[in-house]
Amino acid sequence: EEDTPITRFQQYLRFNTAHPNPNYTAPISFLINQAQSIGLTTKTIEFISGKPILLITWLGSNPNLPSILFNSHLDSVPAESEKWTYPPFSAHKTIDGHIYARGAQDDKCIGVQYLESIRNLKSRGFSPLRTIHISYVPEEEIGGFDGMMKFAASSEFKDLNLGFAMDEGQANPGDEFRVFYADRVPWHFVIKAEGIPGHGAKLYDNSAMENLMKSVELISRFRESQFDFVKAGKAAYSEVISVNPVYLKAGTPTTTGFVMNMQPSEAEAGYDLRLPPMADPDVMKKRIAEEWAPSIRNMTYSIQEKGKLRDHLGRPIMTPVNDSNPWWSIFKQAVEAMGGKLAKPEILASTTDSRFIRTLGIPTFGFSPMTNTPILLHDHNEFLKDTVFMKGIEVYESVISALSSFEGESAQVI
Amino acid sequence: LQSHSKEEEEDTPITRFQQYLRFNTAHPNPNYTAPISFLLDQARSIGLTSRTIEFVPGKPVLLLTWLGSNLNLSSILFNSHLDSVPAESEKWIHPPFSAHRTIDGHIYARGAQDDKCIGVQYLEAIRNLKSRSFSPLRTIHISYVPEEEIGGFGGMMKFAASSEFKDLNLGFVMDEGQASPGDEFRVFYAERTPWHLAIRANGMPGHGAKLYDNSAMENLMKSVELISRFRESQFDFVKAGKAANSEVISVNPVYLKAGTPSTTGFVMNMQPSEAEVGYDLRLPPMADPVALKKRIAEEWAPSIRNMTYTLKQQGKLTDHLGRPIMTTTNDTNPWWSIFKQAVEATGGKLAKPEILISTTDSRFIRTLGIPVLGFSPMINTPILVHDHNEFLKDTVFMKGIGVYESVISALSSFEAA
Repeated sequence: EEDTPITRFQQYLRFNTAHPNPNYTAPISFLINQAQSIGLTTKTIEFISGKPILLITWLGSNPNLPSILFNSHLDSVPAESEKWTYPPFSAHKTIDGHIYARGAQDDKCIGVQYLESIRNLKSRGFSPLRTIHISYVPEEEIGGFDGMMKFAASSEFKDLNLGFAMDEGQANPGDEFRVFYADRVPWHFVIKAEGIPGHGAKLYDNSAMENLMKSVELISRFRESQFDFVKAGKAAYSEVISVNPVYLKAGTPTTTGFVMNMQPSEAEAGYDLRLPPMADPDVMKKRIAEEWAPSIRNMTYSIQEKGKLRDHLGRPIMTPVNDSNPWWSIFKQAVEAMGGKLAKPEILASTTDSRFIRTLGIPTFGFSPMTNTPILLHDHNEFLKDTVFMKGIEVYESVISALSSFEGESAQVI
Repeated sequence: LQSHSKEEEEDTPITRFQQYLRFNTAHPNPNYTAPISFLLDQARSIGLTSRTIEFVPGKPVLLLTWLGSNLNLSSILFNSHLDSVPAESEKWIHPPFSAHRTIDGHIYARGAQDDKCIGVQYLEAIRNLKSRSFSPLRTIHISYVPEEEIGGFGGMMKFAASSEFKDLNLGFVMDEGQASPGDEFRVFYAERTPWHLAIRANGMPGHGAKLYDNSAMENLMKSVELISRFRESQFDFVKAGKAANSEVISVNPVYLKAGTPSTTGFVMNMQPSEAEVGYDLRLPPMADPVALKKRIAEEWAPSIRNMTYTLKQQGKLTDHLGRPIMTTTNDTNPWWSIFKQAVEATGGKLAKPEILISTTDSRFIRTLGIPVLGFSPMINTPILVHDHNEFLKDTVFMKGIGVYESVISALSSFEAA
């Protein structure tokens, strides 16, 4: 019955925002109440009906300076209740302080930590120089196309005049905070081979399946060559191009399985490719068109690029993590001022909403202040320890006060 | 036109062939009753005894017999099948069961080559031999079996395993062969055995972005690569001219299955925990089944890589005495010599004996140790089994009757053994 940062976190976790039917109304109502009690202004925008975006603002004293944004998403991945020790939306807190809930790590913790840290800064009489915005967006777990993608492309977003943004990161089992400076871009790639159909007994060249198998072999070799960099310790998983097979389809189905004496005239394979920003998309497309699915072998393919590798000025989409980027220096110092240590900056192996913001040339870090915590996003029994959550609030107090006090550059850092 | 209609009223080998072709015996609903009725009438008119046996209801086997003068000698059998593969009418120039005969003598019908021609040629040859007062030493049987096109399991397989078959005391058998585009008759002394292999790989499921070892699909792909290499190595013998297509082990992929279906296709960011591939293997009788099974268990689908497999052997590679199932085609086999001479006596030439690339009912008989040759006397004829617009030229059909007169009279006069 107490009203504490922990109980407010638990309240937020109890809203079922899991796909495929996320409840967005109730958590937004809750967040608006919190914002009002802290003295922040709010604005709700719906670019897609039923998929609201909440923007909360703390006005800074110098409106000429670009503002900063702290983003998180409202939605969660589904939870299979029967595989959880406690109901996934109960936010049960164990005796040793573990709070179990879907979204505990991904990413309702930071959504509440932003507000709690600002509540604390206000109560200390802190006044920001730059305007601080907090955004809560829908649909991140299913690609963000109806959430942050729409928001980032809007005039409302442009009007924020952002100089820097923070978004979610990931937990660290170790004792250093993880920070992400780029995402990889997914390409959904489908190869189709056509060939001569024939009786299962005949040996002949250019059957659809043998043709596809030649390509699958080439692709597997490429995959292994990229993986070898990881195994040799020369690159992180997220710094290479990953090519993972996700489906195979060929043959004539019957009621009992497949026709076993007929070589089909079509065969198909699907791959999930992930390209880091350093990858050359043109070289990859050339490899696909000339080696993996060449038309001279009666093959066709389709690629769905689920994002961009280059920003509007043609540069690889990533945020510099050295002193050439003053936001990096300020962020790093702010974390260290709390006694925390930052791990070596990483490219995220999957994707978050950060990519839509980086595409606009706005520097963005992915950061979730959780150390000594197993990575449990999308896993069963996702939890966050109460002391880790509380420590995170302090980290954000330091980060938000430092970033919003940064005086240099009266224009966007490009 | 007048000549055409006049011929249709005539009772000739050609018109009897056409009548037989007009019975729709195509799968999946072959009409067996009408053609058997027709064949019984023909047998009676020729003076042969007949017997109909149903090992499986609705799947009759017809046996016609011409008693020989020496019942102590083993008999000979001439086999053909009643059924046909389906025909896609819209892809035929003439309706597939019309047995339309063109001006240049091509008779178009499903089963014209596979294999109603030989079923009628057996009877016509015997009709002619009888009219010449020929008397066989050995008893001659003619069988018409169902279900050959779908593996023969409900037809010849049942017949060959029966006491009725054993009682025939067969010494030699002739079954269907294939047409030759060239000018030499083809003859088949063995078949390959189908093995249906399904390989399943299990592995860790995972997000589509992660690189890790031992995913089900990557695991399966390793095996597919090994199997493709084996396939290529066998095919290389064929390409180098060292073996015929049917003399090597063929391994052909027939299906692939993996991934999570969705309403729009497949989930594109999830690596599945299961992946499966199916193969149609064909083993010639010289193949070593033990070595191949070892390769499958240890290399293609090893349990140490979390793989499992099922193997359905659709026949045997060795007979009841453990010998490779094939009929000898040299002078150590007297039936071979007699058959060869009989064909050549008609002015025909035999091509080099072959292993059949697919399967016929011959395999059930060879398994019993009985020598069998696959033979369909068609030369200068494109191979159109299972094809659209299957046809047989009338002169080729008639020539075939002449060949069978020679073959049947020679084989049934063989006195030794």
